[in-house]
Amino acid sequence: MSNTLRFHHVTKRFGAQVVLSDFSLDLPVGQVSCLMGPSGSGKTTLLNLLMGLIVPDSGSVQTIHPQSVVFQEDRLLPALTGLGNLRLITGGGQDAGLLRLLGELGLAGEGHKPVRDFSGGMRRRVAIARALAADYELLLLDEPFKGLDADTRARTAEVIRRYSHGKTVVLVTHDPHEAELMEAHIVQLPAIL
Amino acid sequence: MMTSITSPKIKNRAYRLLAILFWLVVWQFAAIAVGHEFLLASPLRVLNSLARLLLKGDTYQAALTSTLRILLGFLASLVAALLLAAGAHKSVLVKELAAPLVSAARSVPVASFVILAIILVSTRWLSTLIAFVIGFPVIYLNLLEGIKNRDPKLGQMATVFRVPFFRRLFYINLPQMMPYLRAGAVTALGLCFKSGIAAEVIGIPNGTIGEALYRVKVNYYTADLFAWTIIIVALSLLASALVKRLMDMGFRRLERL
Repeated sequence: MSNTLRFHHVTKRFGAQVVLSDFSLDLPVGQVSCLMGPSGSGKTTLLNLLMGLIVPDSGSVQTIHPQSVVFQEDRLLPALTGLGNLRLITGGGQDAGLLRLLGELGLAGEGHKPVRDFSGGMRRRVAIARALAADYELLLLDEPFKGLDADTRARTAEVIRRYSHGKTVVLVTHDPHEAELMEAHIVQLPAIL
Repeated sequence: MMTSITSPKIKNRAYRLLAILFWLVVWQFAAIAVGHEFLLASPLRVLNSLARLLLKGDTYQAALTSTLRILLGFLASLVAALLLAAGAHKSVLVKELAAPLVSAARSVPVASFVILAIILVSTRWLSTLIAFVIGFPVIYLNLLEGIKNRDPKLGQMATVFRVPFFRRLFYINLPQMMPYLRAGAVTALGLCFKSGIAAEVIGIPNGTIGEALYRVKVNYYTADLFAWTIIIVALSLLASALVKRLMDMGFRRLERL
C-alpha cells in the first residue's frame, strides 16, 4: 500500500467547464484530511476521482482500496430498513454489531423501521453507519454532517473518529468547525483548482 | 339553507353505476329497434346465454384450456423478456440483434403470425405461441425503459461498496424496475388474452374458447358471442389481478433484507 493519496497534474472538464486544471495534491495515508473550499471548487470531483467514479482527462490519481463513502446525498434504499441498508453492504450475520453502531449514532430501536419513514437527519446517520460498517482502508466523507444539529454532529463525529481510527479519512466540508470535530488536517482549496 | 355533503368516492361509484345502467338501457332499446335476437341480442338474452354456458361443464373445460395455454405463452414471454433485457443491457450487440425481432413482433398483424404458426406448429399450441409473440415485445420494451431510468447514483453506491451481483440485482435494480415490469406485464397479459383467443378462432383447436366462438360465428348467434366475451373479459381480469398480486408480493419480499 502506498503512503499517500496522490493527484498528479490532474485536469478534469465537464463539457466546456474546467473543474480541475493541472491540479496536484498529496494526502497522507492513515490520517484524517479535510478538503475545504467554497462551493464549486471541485471538492466532490476530487472524491469522485479517488473512488474511480470519474477519470481524469489528463494526469493521474493514486488511491487505495477498499473504500467506503458517505455521499453528499444519502443514497439509501428507502424501502429497506435502517438495518437492511447496512446488511446490503455487509451481508448477514452481523446484526448485533450493526444495531450497536446504529445505537451509537442515536438510532437505537430504529434499525427495523423502513428508512422512508426516517427524518433527514436520521437518514444521514444511517448513511454514516453504512459507511462505517463497510470494510475499508479509505473512508471518504462528503459533507457528512449535513442536516445534523450541533449536538448530534459532535456525537456523530466522535463515533466516526472511533470507528475509523488508524484508517485514511478524507472529509469534504466548507465548515471549519466540522474539520475541528474530526481532528482533521486541513487542506484549503482555492476557488478554481 | 340545507346542504348535503357526499363523499367523492361514493359519488363517483354512483356515477359509474348510472353510466352502466344507461348503456344497458341503450343496448336494450337498440336490441328492440333491430328486432332480431340473432343480430343483436338483448342484455337479458345475453344473461340467459351466460347462465346456460355456466351450467355446462364444457364451458369450464374450454375456459381452463385456453387460459392455461395463454398463461403459458405469457410466462414464456416474461422469462424471455427478462433474459433478453438483461442481455441487451449488457451488450449493445444483443440489443441491436433483438431490435428487428421486437419491431416485427410489434407491427406484423396477429393474423399473419397465426397463419404462419398454423403452418409451422400444431394448432394445439397456437394460442401459447401467439401470446408469447404478442406479450414479449411489450414486456421487453418496458423493461428496457426501466433499466434506462434507474438511478445511476445508486449504481455508483453499489460499485463503491462492492455490493455482490445478486444483492445488487434483487435489492437495488429489480425494485427500481418493478413498476415498469408490472405495468408491462399487465398490459401484455391483456393483449395475450385478446390475441390468443383470436388465434384460436382462426386455428380452431379442439376444446377451446376459440372453437366455441367459431361455432357462434357459424351460427350467427350474438347472445352466445356476448356471453363468451363476458367470460373472456372476466378470465383476463382475473389473470391480471393474479399477476398484479403475485408481483406485489414479490416486490414486498424485495423490501425485506
